[in-house]
Amino acid sequence: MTGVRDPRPGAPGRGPRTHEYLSTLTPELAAFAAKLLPAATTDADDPISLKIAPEWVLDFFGIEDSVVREQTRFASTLLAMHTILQDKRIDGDFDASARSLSDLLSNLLLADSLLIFNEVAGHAVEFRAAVHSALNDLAAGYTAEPVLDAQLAADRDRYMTLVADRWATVKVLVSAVGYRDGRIELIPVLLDALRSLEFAQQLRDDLTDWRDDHARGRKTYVLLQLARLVGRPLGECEPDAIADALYLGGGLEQLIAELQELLRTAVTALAGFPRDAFVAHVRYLTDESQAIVDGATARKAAALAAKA
Amino acid sequence: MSAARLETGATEHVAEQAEVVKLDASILRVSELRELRDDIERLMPRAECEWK
Repeated sequence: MTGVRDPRPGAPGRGPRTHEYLSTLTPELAAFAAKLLPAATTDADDPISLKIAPEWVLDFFGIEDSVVREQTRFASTLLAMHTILQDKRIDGDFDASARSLSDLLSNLLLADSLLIFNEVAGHAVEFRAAVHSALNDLAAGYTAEPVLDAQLAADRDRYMTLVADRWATVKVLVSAVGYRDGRIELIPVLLDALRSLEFAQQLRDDLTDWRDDHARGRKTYVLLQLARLVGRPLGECEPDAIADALYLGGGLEQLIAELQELLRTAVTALAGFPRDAFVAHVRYLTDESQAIVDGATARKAAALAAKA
Repeated sequence: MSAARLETGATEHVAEQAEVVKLDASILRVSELRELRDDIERLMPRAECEWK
């Protein structure tokens, strides 16, 4: 027996925090988790998330019940921790001993998360099918990634599906809240908007991380598009060529225009629904990306003016 | 190699991909292109984790 206590939220309005959850684990697992996820040891309300806030989902469905909101928030945090551990494992960050602990902790986090989400969903039988579907999509995302190529990058819709598959655990969150609300026909509406947002956020990450991604041989959408601008297969592009294409050759402007179009699509898809926090986040991303384009334009103009 | 590329002394891919600059005004030297490129790169937000 591990002495693990029920991690479900207790008093209405305030569920457990992750550091309380960690205190229910064996010392070895708790220490491992604290080392990998130091944010989880704080008393913050929402110390870890995967850039899709559970509040957006709760607001969209108009869920006001404080217990359900707390359950959703906490289950989302556990699911995020699970996903982070999975990603670290996939990236080969663990030795054999750490892999064992990671597997245990990751499984525990997933199991606890799903138990709570199942309560959020009101134990709807269909929710189980939604979980299976999400995990199948996740498997599809893992399988597809190694075979990325320029042809796939040219087909943005297929590429978006791949990214959405990698974020498939979001479907667990949305489905649980959707089944709680009962208007299950709205589940695909929200997922469709999140699909655009996820891809926009992926573009942002790919733009900021491109040097590291390139050094690691990752075939991201951004790198594949820039390789097309360079006119050579990605594997034959030096970092200098990629940088030229991005910062001087119009790549930045093109990719940010694409990112902003995705953000507009996400907001439009949720028109008429409660979405204030969602829109605020999208506005932040839009303003940030516009500032980059404006800054690049100004610098190019200044460089040319200095020559004139 | 075109006259413009010869004039800039840029490598072929730089000249091709710097069309925005080339088309807008006179030609920048490779060192100036590099400086401009680095300047623009500094505008990019810092890379973050995929979680917060």
